[in-house]
Amino acid sequence: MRRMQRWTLLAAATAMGLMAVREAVACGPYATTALFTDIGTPDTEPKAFAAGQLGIVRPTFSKENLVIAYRHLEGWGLDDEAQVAVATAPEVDNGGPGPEPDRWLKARAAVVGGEAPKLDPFTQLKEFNSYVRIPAGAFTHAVSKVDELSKTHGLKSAEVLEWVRGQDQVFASIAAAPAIPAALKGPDWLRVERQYQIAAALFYAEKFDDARKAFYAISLDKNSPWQPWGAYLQARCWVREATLRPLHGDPADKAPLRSYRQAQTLLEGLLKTVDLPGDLQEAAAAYRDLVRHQTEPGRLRDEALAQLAAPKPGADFRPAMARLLSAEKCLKSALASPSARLDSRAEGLRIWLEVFDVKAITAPGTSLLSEAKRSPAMLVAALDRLPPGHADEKALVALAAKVPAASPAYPSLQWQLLWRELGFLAPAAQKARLESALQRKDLPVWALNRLRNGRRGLAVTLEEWTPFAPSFVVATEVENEVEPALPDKTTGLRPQLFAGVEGTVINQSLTLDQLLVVAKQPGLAKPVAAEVARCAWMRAMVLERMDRVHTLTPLLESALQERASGIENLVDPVERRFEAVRLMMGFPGLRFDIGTDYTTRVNSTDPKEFDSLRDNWWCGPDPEKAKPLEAGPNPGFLKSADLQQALLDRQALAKVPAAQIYFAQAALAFAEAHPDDARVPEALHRVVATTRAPMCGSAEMTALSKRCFNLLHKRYAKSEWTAKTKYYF
Amino acid sequence: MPFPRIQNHVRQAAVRCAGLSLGLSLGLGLALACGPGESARMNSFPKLMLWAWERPEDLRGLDPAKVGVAYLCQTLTVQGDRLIRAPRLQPLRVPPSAKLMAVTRIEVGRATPLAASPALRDAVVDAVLHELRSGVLGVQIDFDAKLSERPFYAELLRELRRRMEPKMPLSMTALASWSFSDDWIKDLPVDEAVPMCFDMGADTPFILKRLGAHHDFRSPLARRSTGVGLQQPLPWMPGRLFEQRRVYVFSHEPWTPKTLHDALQRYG
Repeated sequence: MRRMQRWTLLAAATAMGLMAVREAVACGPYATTALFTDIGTPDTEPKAFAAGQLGIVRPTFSKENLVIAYRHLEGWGLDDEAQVAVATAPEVDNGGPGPEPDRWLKARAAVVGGEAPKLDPFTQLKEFNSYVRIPAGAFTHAVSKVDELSKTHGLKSAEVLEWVRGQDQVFASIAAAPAIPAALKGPDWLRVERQYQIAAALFYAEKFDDARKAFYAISLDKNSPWQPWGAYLQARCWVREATLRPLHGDPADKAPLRSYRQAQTLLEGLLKTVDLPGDLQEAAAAYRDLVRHQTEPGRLRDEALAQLAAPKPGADFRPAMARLLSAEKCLKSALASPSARLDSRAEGLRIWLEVFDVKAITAPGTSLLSEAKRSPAMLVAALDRLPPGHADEKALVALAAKVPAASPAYPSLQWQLLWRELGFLAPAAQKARLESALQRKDLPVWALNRLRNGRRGLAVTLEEWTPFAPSFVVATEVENEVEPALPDKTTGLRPQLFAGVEGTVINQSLTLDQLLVVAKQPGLAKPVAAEVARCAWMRAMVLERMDRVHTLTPLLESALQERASGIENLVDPVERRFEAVRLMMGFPGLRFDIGTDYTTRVNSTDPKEFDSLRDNWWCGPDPEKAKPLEAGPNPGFLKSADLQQALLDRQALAKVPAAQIYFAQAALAFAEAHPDDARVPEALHRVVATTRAPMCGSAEMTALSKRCFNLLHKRYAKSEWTAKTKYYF
Repeated sequence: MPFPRIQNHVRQAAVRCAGLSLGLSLGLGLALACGPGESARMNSFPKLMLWAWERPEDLRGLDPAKVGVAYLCQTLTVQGDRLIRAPRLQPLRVPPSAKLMAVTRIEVGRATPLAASPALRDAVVDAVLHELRSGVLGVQIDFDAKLSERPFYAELLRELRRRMEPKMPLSMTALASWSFSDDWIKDLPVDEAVPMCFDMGADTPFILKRLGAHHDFRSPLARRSTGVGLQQPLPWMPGRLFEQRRVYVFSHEPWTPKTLHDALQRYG
């Protein structure tokens, strides 16, 4: 079962899907999925973003990034300490006791020895779940206690042994089998420790009334080192009691909320105590926050907003952010929750976050304009959310145009202005504007794709459409992990593909002549153009359009071009097909369609026998799945006659059998016509080899492989190729 | 490291089975199996199973005669030679006579690879058996074992089988790629290996293409059941000609009466 997605840093993907195969969790090729749109991360590195280089701010940002963006847009900045805090990956706490139980067992072994007791920090509940009965802190404390007692009383002293035995009972105490240590009379230190152990054992045994009484007694005992903790521990009893109530109990049951409120009262009283020890202060404050998620999530949320909007949030930024998110979650299920009064900074942040959370603003009104006038952040949000033609649009555009280049809002506003402006221009001017924007070096890849989409939509001819048809790869996804795509180190070119509809147009809507136009288009990146040329060449060769083969051969990569040169001039059609097949068998990436994603296709320019981990060549028609082919999509300028011809080409190609069958038929036909030709044995050997590629198997393919094998062994017994062909499968 | 080159004999002929009682099993492993030889231990479970993962789930609406539940009961994280147990914290509500299978997921910490030992193996087995509550009729292990972890996994399953009640079924999940391209599971002491044909990540095009070409899973153990995602229908359901295979359904969202109904309609 797949784990949850995580965003991590990996090595960059190289162009066209070649990936180093890591040690396999799944034994297979790691297919790369190409992503072409905004992936929701800032355009700049995290450190630069935290420092104020915002790039284009988008609603797809995480809430934390939106908060950071807001601070910079408003001119508040983010202090150094907060910047460091946001750059640190948050710790993940799954709530369990982790390795602490093991540490306790090791510590107790030094005192008691012998076999360690079975220790299970979880308690099973009735609905096939469990809860953490003993958290990590309890074990951590017990380990510290053993260390402390061994130093003051000696590791092997009888009293320390008694303490450890009592602690064993505490950790073993469960509701079904309470294990309450016996009270002790002396010495004093042991007596008061034992009182605490008794209270703890009652707590773990879910005897909350008794536990509360015991902790209350401790809170009154000035001789007990646990005295300051008494109120805190009583609060723990209330909370645990509340959480153990059935999740699906009576919704009208207010008892859990009352318990939480009791806990909150105790903790708030405790926090008012003068000279509270530091660790207790910290524990009580954290626990109170936890409780407040149940009693007043709205107020908690607003306090978090206030902290995030504070002049210098410092190291509190991350915890405040976590609190904001967790409080908002609890708010969804809270019946009612009071809110705190927010100052203007926090209120502004709240509105900003809400604006990005809701759909485009549709109601006209002056409140948005007046907000945008006073707040650069709201100006950015308004222009992002406002539908075209809104009453305030012109005024907001005018405001945005005046923002200086040094402002953090500038990139976002310029981006918005570009799109708003386009709406007022005639097509010719739109084209010029988009092409000019595409020359910019500062735009992120997703933005370039959006511009290309726009420009492509204005094309009226294939020549005009082609340079803007491929999309840049923004990021790649491998095994649910996403990573930005980087330019090729050698060529500096950004990886790009004909994706989506554009890929379908190339594959389904264009005639051979039109594919030639695309392949020769000067504005098209070389790798992309080369792939189109290869596919067009394959189509022409298999459809026997030799005049087109002649025109396309010079457009192939050099390794292919060398082999392909002159094939179309062979007079004998059997030999012509044979030579074409000899070439094809050396390049398992050759096929009739371009790739519109990285997938698991072989890289077309790799000469090899075949690739056992990837898709090789092409499969034939599947009679079970065959349905009539339809004409491909029309981007707006293709003539119906051309679409019809493209469809006819596809229908003819759909009848071509699987590659290996095609190869075998060509090789056998040539062998029959030219039995003494020196090329035959090697070709027959290669045919048999290709049938081992793990795709498109069929009885016919097996039979043909066997025929080639038998012919090889019967007629060319002495050939070195025969010796190399030991099996037909 | 790349897995072994797939032999020609793995290519699947079309599965023809108009009433054939048993398929042929060639020495090279080609199986034209008809009727995948279901283990009798699994008879206690219906043909449709729902996976209930770590979130609150209310499945009281299901018919126990038709639908069973494979619920995540715990996640065991192995760090080196140490085992950290995280039992299910979210409630699961089922009708009283529901057929339940307790699923234990095993993960290995990235920072500290698995350090196999008999003690670790026993600790895992102890943890699995600890979660066999009243009403649980079977065990399933979910472990995406790497190549280097397979010997430990096989050893673990053997020990678990040895210590389990003889009549209680032992199931395992299997990556779809194992089930197509690899046969390391064939000798494991499990009653079924459920190929997970959903959320396949990088393997998705590879697996979907094979399913689309009507290639069945290679291992007989993997032909007793299929794992599917409710939101990710397959181009071809292996074994559909027989309709004998158990189907496990995973949903990314909590189960609702509607999604329960959808699962039953599609796979019941």
